[in-house]
Amino acid sequence: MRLAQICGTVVATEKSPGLKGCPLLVVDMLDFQLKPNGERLIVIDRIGVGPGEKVILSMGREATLGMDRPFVPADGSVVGIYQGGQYMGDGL
Amino acid sequence: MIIAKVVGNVTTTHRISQMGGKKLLTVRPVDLDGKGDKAKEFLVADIVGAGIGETVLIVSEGGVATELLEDKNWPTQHIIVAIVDKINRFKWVPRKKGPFKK
Repeated sequence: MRLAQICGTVVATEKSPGLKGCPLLVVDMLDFQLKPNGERLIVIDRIGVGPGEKVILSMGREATLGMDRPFVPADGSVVGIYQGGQYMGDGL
Repeated sequence: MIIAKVVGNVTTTHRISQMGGKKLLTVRPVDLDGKGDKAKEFLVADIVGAGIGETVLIVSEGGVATELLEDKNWPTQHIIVAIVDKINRFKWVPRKKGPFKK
């Protein structure tokens, strides 16, 4: 799981049936000092977040575990909203 | 499995219901000298009670992770399975003779 910030949405009318009803979000990946590291991904929204929020992403096949439909073709999803935390960082 | 150092933690205001109340720790994969790359850090669920600064063992298989967490639908690929006390390193010395002594 990693941290990211919401910076946009994607609208797609023609898509795989498993993605119907899944909001698609554009996110900037963040490092753990909350700075963007340049990577941008599209992920699905499982919580309901707004623009500019910092979120927790789950990546890979496990990103769609526990969804109410049998198969969602996505490899990243928003699973939590970031509140705060500690980071030792360069003091290691 | 990989060795990683715990460098922080993350709290959340909301989570999906499949994620229980487990703590999320920020870890950095390190080599045997304890040096790692900041850009490769990620979040992982903690079931052993590790603290910041400790070295842990992480399994990167999603099936193993969901087996250990209380909900089979915990959306994570990684999980902390042990806290490392010590790493012993052996020096490899090449044999002078072949494997079968005459």
